[in-house]
Amino acid sequence: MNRRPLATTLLATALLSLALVALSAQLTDGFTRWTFEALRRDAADAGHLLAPAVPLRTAHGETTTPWPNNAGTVYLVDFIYTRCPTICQALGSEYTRLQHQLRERFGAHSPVRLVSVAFDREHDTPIELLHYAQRHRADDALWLIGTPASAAAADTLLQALGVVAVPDGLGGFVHNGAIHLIDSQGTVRGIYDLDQWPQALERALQLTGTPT
Amino acid sequence: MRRRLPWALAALPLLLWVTPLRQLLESRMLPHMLVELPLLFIAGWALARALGPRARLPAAIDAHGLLGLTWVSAVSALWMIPSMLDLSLLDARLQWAKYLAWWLAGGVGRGSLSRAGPVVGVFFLGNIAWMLATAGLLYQEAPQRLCVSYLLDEQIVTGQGLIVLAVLIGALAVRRLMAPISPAGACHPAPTSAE
Repeated sequence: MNRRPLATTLLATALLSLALVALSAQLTDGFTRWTFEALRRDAADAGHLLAPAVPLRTAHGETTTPWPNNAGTVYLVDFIYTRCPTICQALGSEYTRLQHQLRERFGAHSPVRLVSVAFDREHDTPIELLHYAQRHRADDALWLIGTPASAAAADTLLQALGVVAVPDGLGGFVHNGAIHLIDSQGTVRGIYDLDQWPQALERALQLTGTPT
Repeated sequence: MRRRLPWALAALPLLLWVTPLRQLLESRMLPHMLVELPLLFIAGWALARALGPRARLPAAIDAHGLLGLTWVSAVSALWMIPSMLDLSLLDARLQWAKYLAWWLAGGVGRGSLSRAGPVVGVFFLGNIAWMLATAGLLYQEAPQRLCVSYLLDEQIVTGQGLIVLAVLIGALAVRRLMAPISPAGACHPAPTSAE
């Protein structure tokens, strides 16, 4: 039996296997991260996730671009849609609590600001944004609620951050909603689950140099 | 007609250039994993069939079909990872790499499986079936979404679909093992003259 083809085959197979193992390790962060969300959060922790500057249109019809800025303001950013009955309302409640903490500590001049990006541009009209703000007692000085000024701007921001909104078949969306900590230059410094809002606030205050 | 069918199947991936069709297949998890990926594999298989022996990997590096079947196993395993499904929807490079990898898997799979003896063939088919079943159970049982692009309900149904596919491949492996061993199917490298 000619053993040469078997030897070269085993060598080729070993090389292919090694290459594929190396690729898999690269794609899963050393076989530790199996989901896109875990990879996204790792990228944020490492400072590799950048939020592009995107103009947001508020309930009052004003357009404002929160970052980048030279004021050193740090943002806690979430993604909502105003018709959302579940997670966005929960986010809203957490943001109401965050706002209360910021107001107690800094009054209207907080180095940490809250931003809610409403991504359903078709339905998140200024009047709906206003209702959302009223429902959650949002204070304009501390909490910016706005929708990206254009569809392209919305796509740019969501894609850059890896936020994906999937139609739920009932007229709403399911999305990887979480609190994004974004510094004044637009670098995402961490992504936190809703119930981790105290940690998000603590880290935000650290970034502004405020004693916690 | 029968001659044209493999070519028609081989050309199926070209339909993925049609964005609405691609979105239709990929906007839900079940057609993405259990229609698109198998169709790409079948398209590659059909192309290999249409091209005949010249589509095989060189015998010198594919004795017993080991190299080709390793590729098929690796591609199957890689695309069971939840992050790979999401990344293929969010990164155009990975999207086209996915199409090419599965298409190639079908192409080399046909030639390599015909080279493999019953034991080697069953080993690889069994491994793929086991891996699909494991991934299927994981998708079915996970309490939260594993892919940001898909809903939890779809994930559960896809998990069940993967288990069904695993059973079918497992049955194919058993059938292969039960088949009488012919000299051509025995564990001998294919003669180089056939290449």
